Amino acid sequence: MKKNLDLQYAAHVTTLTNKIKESYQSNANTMRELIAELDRQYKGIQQLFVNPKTGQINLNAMIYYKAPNQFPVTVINLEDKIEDRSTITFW
Amino acid sequence: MSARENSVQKILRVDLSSRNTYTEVLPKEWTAKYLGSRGINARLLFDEVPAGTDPFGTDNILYLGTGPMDGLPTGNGRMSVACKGPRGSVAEGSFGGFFGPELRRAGFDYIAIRGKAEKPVYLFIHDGESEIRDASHLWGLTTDKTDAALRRELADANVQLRYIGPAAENLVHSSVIMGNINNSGGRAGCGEVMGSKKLKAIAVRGTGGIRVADYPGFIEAYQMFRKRLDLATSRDPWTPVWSTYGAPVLARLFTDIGNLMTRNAQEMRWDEEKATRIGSEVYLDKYVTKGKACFGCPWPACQKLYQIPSGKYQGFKGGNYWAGQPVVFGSLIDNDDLDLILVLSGLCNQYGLDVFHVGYTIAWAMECYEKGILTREDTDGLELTFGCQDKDGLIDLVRKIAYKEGFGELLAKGCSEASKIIGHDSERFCLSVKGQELEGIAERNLYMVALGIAVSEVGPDHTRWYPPYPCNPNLMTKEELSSLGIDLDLRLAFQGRNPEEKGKLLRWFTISRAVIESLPGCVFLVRDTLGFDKRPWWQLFQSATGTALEYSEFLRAGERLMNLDRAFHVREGFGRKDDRVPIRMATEDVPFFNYPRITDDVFNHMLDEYYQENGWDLKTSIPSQEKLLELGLDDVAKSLKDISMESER
Repeated sequence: MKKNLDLQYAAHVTTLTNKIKESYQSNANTMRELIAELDRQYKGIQQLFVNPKTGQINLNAMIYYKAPNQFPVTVINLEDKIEDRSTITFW
Repeated sequence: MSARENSVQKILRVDLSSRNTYTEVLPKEWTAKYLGSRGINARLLFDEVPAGTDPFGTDNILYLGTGPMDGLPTGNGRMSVACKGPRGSVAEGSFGGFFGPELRRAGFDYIAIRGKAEKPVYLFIHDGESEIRDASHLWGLTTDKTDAALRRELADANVQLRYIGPAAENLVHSSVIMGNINNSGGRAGCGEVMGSKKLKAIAVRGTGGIRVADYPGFIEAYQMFRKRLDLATSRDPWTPVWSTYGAPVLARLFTDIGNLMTRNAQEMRWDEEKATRIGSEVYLDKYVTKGKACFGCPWPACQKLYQIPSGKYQGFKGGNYWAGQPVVFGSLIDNDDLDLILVLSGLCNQYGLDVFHVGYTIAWAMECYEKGILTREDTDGLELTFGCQDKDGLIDLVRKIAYKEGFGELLAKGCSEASKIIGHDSERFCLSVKGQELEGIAERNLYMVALGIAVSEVGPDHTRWYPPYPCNPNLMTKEELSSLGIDLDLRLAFQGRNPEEKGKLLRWFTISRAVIESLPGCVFLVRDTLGFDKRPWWQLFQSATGTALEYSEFLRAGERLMNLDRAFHVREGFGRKDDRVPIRMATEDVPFFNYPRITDDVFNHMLDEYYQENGWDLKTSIPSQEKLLELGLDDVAKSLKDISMESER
């Protein structure tokens, strides 16, 4: 089932997305899958957020993840699961 | 003038009472021991401004200090300004621009100004010479007009200036020193002290140069330093954000995570639409006319000049919309009109007011008004509500603060003093520490920030450490940290709502920042690894000055500075009792995300850890004799020996 997500983009990320936020439907189960999915739409997002050498999140990029009714957290592990109705901020 | 050696640091001493000036060479060993700039200013201040000195008296000294890296192509247009502040402790801040490099080109590294002029004067320094000139015609002018008048008078487009506005002339709380129209420094009252000396401005022009000691070594170190700024490899999420979009991007990011002080920090989350309307993306798109960099900066110009394109305030110009203004003139007073924010900020610069003093004090007054403690009779008829319906009234209030007129006279004192006058328990929502208003960063969910703001000797000042916004603990491995001599569990240190490791983290960040500000350097160029790895700067310093120093000794200079600041502080009677968070942060929970107040247990745990790590007394915060001797501060140890914190201020 597709997940309904609120995605937000800040600063330089908006130069890829040309928007600062959107409601987005995704098939992704993990953050890594979501970034790969977004990269098909906004070429360059994967390069910005995933370090090609380590496969982990780049140390000069940040993602805040807020599950419904939860406290927002910094994403450290790209295998973290994504829940329906989450808010995710890329910067 | 010819190029000069970088290993000699010279000070121009000025006595405004006797109108005498002379030059001294500072002890050569100070370069290794205190590096320069903020470090040497702290040493001079401790030595030359004894306990109990009247901040507005002739014996208080205003220091402006550059450092061995100033004037080199590493983004070092910064300099430190320091004095004993009007609130009794250290007042220190730094500003960027071109003044520091120009002062060095003129043959000086420091200026120490004591005494008081009989009538307004300005100081003109040019190629090894200095003159005290009449400034009666400049007194009363706003900073932009002062800038223009002095440039006309000196007929030199390359002259660099520092000046005060009407606010500092009128001894308004927390007034700053300005330069380049939009650069401010010394918010803890350095402007007030300059005003008390009737010193309107300092102009400097030099044609000399600075010769680095080891040119090939410097080039090698420079390449290492530039690598740290590479967007592909930098370990700092702020590098790409800061360099182009600047800090107002925080408004949106912080409201997302419940970290944006709203309606005088009664709430911590602002409406997202409102935050978006005042954010960097809109600012850059609609208002920015030109980027402006400091001397020799390798980054895209982070200062953005603006002009309001349309509407009631069309044509209003200013600069430096950064992290504080979106908070103090935005969320804090619930104003999402970016035009109004830019007008209020720009006016503060023109009057030489501190935006934090003005913003927090107005927010405090709005809460008083909301609660019926202040009425229209008190506010000269102004409807002082959150949401800012009366925009022109608010603009006029800023002018009244600068000139201490009507209701502005009360607010000119700052919320700490004003709340004592108004009473009705209004101190509860005055957001200040040590008589100084907060800045833009929230505290109840960032424990290290709370601790850092509480212990800062100059009052709330996040520039004395690195604000660890929710961070990636993989930033540095344990092994990497260990190889740099840092014993820290980053997972715990960056963990929210957990007081563990916060004292240790703050200590490290404070030392790190003290080192950088003593070179001096710009924080935005050292954020890679959050300042944990300073080796490029260490190499730059060594090659620039020809001073051989172990890496651990380089860092020790920062620790020395930290202890000098604390020594000055406790010698003036401050201590643990003054290291606290604002009452609101310690007594009120935040509904959004269930942020709890910072309880005594949590705060004291962090404070103990911080003092313990520093080698400071847990009850008094006085640096231990052992620590001071270990740092080679034997004279400081001796002077603190007899101080008993029993004699409470």
